[in-house]
Amino acid sequence: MELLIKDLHKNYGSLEVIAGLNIALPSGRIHCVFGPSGCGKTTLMNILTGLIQPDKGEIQGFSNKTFSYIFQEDRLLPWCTVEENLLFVLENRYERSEAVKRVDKYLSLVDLERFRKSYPEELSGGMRQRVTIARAFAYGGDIFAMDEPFKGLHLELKKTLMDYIIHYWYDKKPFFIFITHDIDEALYLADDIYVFQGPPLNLEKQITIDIPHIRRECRKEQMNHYKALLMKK
Amino acid sequence: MKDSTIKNNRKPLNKLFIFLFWVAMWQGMYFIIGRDIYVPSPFSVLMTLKELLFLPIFWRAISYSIYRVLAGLFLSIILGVSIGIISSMNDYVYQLINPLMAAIKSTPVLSFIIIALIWFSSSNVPIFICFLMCFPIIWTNVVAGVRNVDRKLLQMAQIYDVRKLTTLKKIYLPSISPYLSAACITSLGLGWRVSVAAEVLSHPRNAIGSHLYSAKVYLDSSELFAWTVVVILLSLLFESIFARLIRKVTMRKPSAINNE
Repeated sequence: MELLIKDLHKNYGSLEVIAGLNIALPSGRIHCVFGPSGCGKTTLMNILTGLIQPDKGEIQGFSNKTFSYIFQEDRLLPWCTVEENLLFVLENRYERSEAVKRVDKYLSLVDLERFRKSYPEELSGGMRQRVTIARAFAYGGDIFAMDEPFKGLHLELKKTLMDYIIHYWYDKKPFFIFITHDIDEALYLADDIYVFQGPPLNLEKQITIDIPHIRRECRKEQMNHYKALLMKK
Repeated sequence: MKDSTIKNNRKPLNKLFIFLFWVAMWQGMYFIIGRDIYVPSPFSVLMTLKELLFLPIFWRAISYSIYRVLAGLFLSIILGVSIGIISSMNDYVYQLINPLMAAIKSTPVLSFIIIALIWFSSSNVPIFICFLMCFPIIWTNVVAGVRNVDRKLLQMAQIYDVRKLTTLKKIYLPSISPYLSAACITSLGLGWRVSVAAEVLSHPRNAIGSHLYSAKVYLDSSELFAWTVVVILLSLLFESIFARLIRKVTMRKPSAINNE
């Protein structure tokens, strides 16, 4: 499954957010959309997942797929407990017993089993973010779209989750695309980094990291080279 | 701590004082006017009320009137919620229904009562009137509630391919419930007033309104006041029962301790 974006246009009123974007994203890699805030990354993601319609242009390769979308905001049902929030998205996709099993598994992954009966307003921002991560993984879509998924998480948990994502990815090979403006996150997780500027959103450069994830920590020098590339204007 | 105990002790006393103040005002009016037929004394109203309490016909009238108000309200909630949801999801339906609601809201109740007298049997007129008056309130509030549903939650449900029915149950209904409960409480008060008014004109065999009418025919002011007091008390009672019921339904279970 390859994702093709052809001549994509999107305006909000008189503001051109995306003006004629063309990219091909091959499958079997973790893609990172990198760029400053307000450059149109989230709009691009919303078009890819079908939440908003482009004014012009075409997306190929994403039809009839299921999505696990980690939104920038938590988007949890405030009147449902953590557990009910997860079951809300699982009910249509899995049998009841399987859904319950998944809730257990992914809540423990994000270290929130103790809070399964809590309501979102009783959790801190970081905890709510973890619930949305658990929701996305428990759902297990064909495509993982993540909009700054680690925002507000402390380093240790962030690393655990990124390791889990890498592990999950090697295991299931879903299509992975995530947005960030954190250089270390991009270098830790991505195979392909697309550096954007905007608005209007335009691809400035593409960096491909050809080192397997497990080796990245010991190849400091090469990674520093990539880091320099990313930071260079 | 001390402050709040004093406040708590003072509150019922305060209420009692306010109540006594208005009863004294009433008594004062009675003294000034001095004619039972214009303003009966609080005492004679109380005595009439006491007499009524021992009549089986009093209890029958009350139960039938309660039944009519609840039936009218029930109909308006069922139809108001379903038509409200449909019309807020489809703009054509909304455009179609909206003028009707505006017309109902600004038509005098009496016009409806008179036409309903021709259409229905006397016992059903108050039910229809109660329904007709409460329906626009429920409908308007449901529409406002649906319009205020968080779009972002709906997007989330769409992305995760959640069934329409589940979305309705878990997103729409909880979002409109505060609007709906406010509408129900308003409707309850209004429902009592209009259905008693309809009863006065349609006089069914057992009804508070029929007794109000006969009190008027016999110029029995203290009975008129006594029945009115009954309507006020019933309306207040139902409102508080209903408010408590809603609080019970919407209140959450005590949850796990938050200690991160």
